[in-house]
Amino acid sequence: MLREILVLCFAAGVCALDTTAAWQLMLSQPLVSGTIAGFIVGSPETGVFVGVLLQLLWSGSMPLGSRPMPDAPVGTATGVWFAAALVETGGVSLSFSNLAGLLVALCVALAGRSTIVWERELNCRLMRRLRMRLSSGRNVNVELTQALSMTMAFFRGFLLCVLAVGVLSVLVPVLGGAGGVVGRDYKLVLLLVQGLGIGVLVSVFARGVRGRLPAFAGGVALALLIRNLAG
Amino acid sequence: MARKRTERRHLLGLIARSFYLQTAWNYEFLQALGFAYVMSSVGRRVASGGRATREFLERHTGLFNTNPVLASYIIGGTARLEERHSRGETSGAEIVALKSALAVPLAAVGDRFFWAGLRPLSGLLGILAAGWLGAGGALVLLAVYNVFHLYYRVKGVLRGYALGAGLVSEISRLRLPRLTVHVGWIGAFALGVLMVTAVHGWQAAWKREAVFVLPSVALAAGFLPQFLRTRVTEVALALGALGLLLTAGGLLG
Amino acid sequence: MDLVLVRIDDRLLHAQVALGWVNFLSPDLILVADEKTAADPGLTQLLRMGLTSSVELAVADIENAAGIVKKGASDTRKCILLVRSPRHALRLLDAGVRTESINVGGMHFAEGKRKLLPYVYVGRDDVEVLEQIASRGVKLTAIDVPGNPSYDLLKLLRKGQLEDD
Repeated sequence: MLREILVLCFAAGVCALDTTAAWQLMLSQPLVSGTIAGFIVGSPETGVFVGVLLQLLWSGSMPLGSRPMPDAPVGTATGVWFAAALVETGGVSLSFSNLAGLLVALCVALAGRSTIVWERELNCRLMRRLRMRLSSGRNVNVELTQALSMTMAFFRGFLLCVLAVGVLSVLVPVLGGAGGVVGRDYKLVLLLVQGLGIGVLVSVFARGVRGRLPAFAGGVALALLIRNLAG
Repeated sequence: MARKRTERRHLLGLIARSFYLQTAWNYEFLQALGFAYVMSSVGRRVASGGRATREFLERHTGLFNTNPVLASYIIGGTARLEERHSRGETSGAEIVALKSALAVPLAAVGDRFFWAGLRPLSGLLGILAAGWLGAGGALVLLAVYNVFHLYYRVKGVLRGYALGAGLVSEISRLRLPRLTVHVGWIGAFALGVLMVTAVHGWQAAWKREAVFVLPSVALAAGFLPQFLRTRVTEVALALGALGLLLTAGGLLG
Repeated sequence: MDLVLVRIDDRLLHAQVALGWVNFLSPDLILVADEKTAADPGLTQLLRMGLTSSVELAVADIENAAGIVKKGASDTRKCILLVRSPRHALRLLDAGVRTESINVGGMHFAEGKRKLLPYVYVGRDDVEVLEQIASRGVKLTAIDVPGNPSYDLLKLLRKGQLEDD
């Protein structure tokens, strides 16, 4: 159990590095970090389900301007863990655990955003120090500064995940044993959130650009055709 | 022959380092530390301590920001110019000028293609693939994005290094703006497929009414005002929490 | 010509403008008023690559840019006007460009400047010029991309001065 959580937080730290500090291979995209988290907690389908919803919601976010994006990878990893942990209690409906996991992911991602601001402030200090040493003619070590910053970025994600899992693990048995309410069907809420997510893609791909509507309609027509042919 | 081999090794090192351009990103210097880090392997070769090294570091620790993928063109070009500079064939000011001239247009081209186009598209294709492959969807996302990502990272460094200052005209011939248009078309098409798939999925899992509910929510959300669109996390959280409470209270579902 | 955005940004036409503001305002024309850019046709061509084909790009020095704005005064095209620094903005006003507000979206760090916002650093001379612009009844608003919070720049300047004293 503890080992599983450590692996999860390690993965969250690595995916968080991928957002800005290194690689940008898109490990930080919720579908990817959600799937990875799903495998780690032993429930890939939960990982994919929560990952897909978050991927939709955040597909319009861009690293433009001074406000950082929500911390998607750490939020996603925590949310997937929470949903899977609720399922394991056996006392909740599947739609409830998925919805709860989604909400946890959104909350942790928002909380993570302010820690990204702190991280950048520390990076700024590292850089100021380096430039000061440089202008006063002392030796500077760029590689060491870079390694320091990478370490900081990893541990920000790792520790945020540890903290979030630690705090939320108190909630798991409480919700799992609540009975009644948590056993209800929450599918409609999930549908509404997915609608919101698809709406984000509408604003990215179909809105305001002339001639995109035929492409969209073509996609609809093809999908309907295949559906009908298939059954 | 041996020279060719060392050159190839240097270039591979430069490509590997280019993945760390954004380490220590901050508001005051943006990608400055990352650029100095990427360049420091070049610096060890061309600037042999003392004043040369200090000037080298000063050139590359100044404010710098561009798209991290297309930055590879600047990285390659700067590496070439630094080598020429060490032989006295160009001035330090010219190197700084190349960096600052290319950073802004490459940022606009690259951000439009990679951030605003390819990233949502690969996400969308990944989601569609997840519908029938499950966990394989994540691999589709990674594959679609990284084919372009890795191609331009590697090509940028190689072409930049080959051309040096001549790189400007190469960049103006980049195919990316046209590709961006195609990405938009494919995205709109895939979105149509996703809409039908999602509706069918919810009809099976929930009710037939999904055929009205899902598209209308998506359409309404697609035309949210800018203020809410940039706060989609908060909006989703509010919607989800409200829905949770209403369902728990027996008013919804 | 409808000046939907007049912006001071030391990086001129970068992704915050080409993506953020263009998607938000859907302008017909982006006018970059900058000598250095106007003198470099290669750079102008590169800048055009970052824009969709529905937006026209014009690059001119300050005086010619003011001419373009005044000549098009009667047409209804939506225009984003970009300048590099407060000093350039003041010169535009001197050349007869009329606007109610100016957006400050990027004045980056340099030695001796103090921080007002993550993307606005000001030196002594910047403050002077900004005060001059404001004294002509032009509202100065700091905002980097649409959707982010915006600030009254004069208030920030005055608050900063109090802290300095």
